[in-house]
Amino acid sequence: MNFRKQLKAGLLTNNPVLSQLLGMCSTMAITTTLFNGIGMGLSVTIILICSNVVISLLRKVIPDKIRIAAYIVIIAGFVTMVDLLLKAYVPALSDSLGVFIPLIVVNCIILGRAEAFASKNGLLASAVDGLTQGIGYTAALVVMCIIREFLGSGTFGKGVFGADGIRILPAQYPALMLILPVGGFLTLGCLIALTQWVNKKLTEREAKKEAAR
Amino acid sequence: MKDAKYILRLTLTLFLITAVVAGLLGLVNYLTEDRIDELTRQKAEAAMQEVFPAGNYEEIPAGEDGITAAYRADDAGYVVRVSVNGFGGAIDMMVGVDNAGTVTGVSIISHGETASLGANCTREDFRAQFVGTSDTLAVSKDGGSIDALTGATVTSRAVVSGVNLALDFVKEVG
Repeated sequence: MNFRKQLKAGLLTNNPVLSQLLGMCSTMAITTTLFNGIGMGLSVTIILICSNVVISLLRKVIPDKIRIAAYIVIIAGFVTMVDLLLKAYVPALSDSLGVFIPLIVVNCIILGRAEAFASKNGLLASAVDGLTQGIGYTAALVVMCIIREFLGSGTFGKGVFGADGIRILPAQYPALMLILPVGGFLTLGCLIALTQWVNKKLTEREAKKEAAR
Repeated sequence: MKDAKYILRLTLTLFLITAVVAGLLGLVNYLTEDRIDELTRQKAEAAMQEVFPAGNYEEIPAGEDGITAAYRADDAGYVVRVSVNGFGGAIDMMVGVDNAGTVTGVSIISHGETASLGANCTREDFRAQFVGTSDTLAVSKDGGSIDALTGATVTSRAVVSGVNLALDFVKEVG
């Protein structure tokens, strides 16, 4: 097991959002301010690690035929717990993310990793997979947030550095469209293209290395 | 017989998982319930103090049509809690109205509006526009006096309609 390899996979070659194209809905909907992006990313990472660990532990107990139902119950349990805990201890984040926390239940990243990884691998590997995939998801969200917030509101770090963030562009210049769903699609499209390009370069380089050997 | 055993195993496994998860959820709910209630109550109270400062709020029967609660504040005015449909679901807000039927303050308790657009309805400069008015309101696009939020006309209209509801309610009661 190789942590660096898994981290690279999570961030680039097998990024949940930009390569596996999972969890698009939340990515599009909440990436308007940095605060939302970080909050959502961390919540998903925590839930992903917990559900991966539990599902990996139970992988030999859960019969194949009912595995999806069992996974969903476990995931929904964790999501509801995180939702309640956020409401009680971080109300600002819970207000801001609203319905998207409960919707993590149907975020296909979590079920996808349970099915593709945790149900076939050991405890530690699954925990690391949850962490690296979570970091990949968070990274994708944060990049989306920074781009959309900068072009759409002209600020950086809204909610993280004060309520209005740091103003970079004067208020009259930003293109409002970037904050709207349209902007989500455009930004995501460009980012996916960029990731694919980088991944292709990486594969080419590796192939060249192989050939030189 | 083998089939029956297998089916029983499926059922029992799923039942056990569900039972354990339900038990844990009950525990977390038990631990957080009081705190969440307390926070919700504090939030509502702070909003009431903001829109119409008073020492005592007495709950009065609320009307229908989006008015979820109403309070008589120190015999000097009313605080009306209104729920209206915005761009992203219900906007829950408090409106303070004095005995003369003039708006003294508007506070948004919760909303699901788009960040950076409709979510700006919580901003002081937007809400301040309502203070001191007593006529039925409209956004400037509809020929009224309220400047809508940039890129969030639907949200602005919703807040305006909420304030109008509160004004109508106070007119009926007072």
